[in-house]
Amino acid sequence: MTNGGPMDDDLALLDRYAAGDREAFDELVRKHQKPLYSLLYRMVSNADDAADILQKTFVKAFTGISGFERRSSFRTWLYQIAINLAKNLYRDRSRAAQVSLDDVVIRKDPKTLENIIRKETRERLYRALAELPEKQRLTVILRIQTQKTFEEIAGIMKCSVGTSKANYHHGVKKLKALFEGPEQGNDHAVHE
Amino acid sequence: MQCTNNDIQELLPAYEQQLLDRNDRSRVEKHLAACEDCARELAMIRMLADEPVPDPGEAFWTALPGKVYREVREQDRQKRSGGLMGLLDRVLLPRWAWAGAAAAVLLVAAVSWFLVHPRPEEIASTAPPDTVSPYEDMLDAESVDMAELDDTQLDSLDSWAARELASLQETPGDLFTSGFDASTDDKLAELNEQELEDLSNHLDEYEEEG
Repeated sequence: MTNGGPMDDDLALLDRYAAGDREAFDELVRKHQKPLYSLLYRMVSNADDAADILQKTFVKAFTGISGFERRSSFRTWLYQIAINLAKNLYRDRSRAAQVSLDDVVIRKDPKTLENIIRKETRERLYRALAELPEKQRLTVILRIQTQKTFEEIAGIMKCSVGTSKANYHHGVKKLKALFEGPEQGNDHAVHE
Repeated sequence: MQCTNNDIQELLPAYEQQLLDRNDRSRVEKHLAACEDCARELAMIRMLADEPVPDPGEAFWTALPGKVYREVREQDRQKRSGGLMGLLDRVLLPRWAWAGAAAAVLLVAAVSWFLVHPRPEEIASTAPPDTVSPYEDMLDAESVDMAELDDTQLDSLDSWAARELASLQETPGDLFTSGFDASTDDKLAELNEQELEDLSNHLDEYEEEG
């Protein structure tokens, strides 16, 4: 995966915004708002909090735009800001919040046992994810749920590529252990 | 049994996202066919990747750029006015200091006014007398024909002259007495006859010497 194109696009948009082009500002927000929201929702497990942090992320990025030295991509910079804001909230709430899939899964086919089992399995998996150490959890989210490369993760988390890979492997191993736990009998459901 | 093939495991998310090239995809599929641990890991990755994210709705996405823009502008404005207010805070004095400064200015102004402008007593001493004889003006004139004055005018002139001469007569006395204060009188009173005689002689000699 290459970042060259999108990075250049973002820098060009930032230059236009700096020159007073309001449309360039809107375009930058529109371009990054949905992927950032997905990441934030997965981190904080609450739609309102995710929307709130999303707005704060953009505001913080644009009010502090003079601090963006263009050594990394604008997207990486946005992710760093978003993750820091989400971390603060996540720390405040610790692990109290759990993901609720209810409506999304059950609405599709509320009567099937398969969906109920799937829902329970998923919930156990997300609980296991929430119990991971912060760096491992964040690395797993970025790699699996937001499709970031290890190089991008290293840039976002300000660590080496080797460290980001190590965090991923440790996280996935713990996740498997926590997810499978004492109830090994759910394997077939996971394999669906 | 736990698999330790990190190389394959690192590729699993990309495999799930169908981002691998043909060679890597083939390598992963071969491994998955033989490794139950990695197959379970892939299933778990799929479940995590599929985690549903509730959509806040199109209205939210449409409005967000505008909301962010307004907030950025507002914060920039606050930052600028905060900087100006901070500067003013450093320059401006608190209310009590302003009151003190105002009182000091008023005090200085009042003192200056009294220093520059004469006091009422000074005005009184330099002002001409309230009642000025009409003949004083006549004295300032080049000549006065006394024959032209009637009796009333002559009486007034007479009383004015008497008043002026009386004041002149008092002046030498004042000047004379001003040279001898009470302590001098006391000292003279303490002299005996012989001392007075000697003093008298000295004064005579002094007068003779001119």
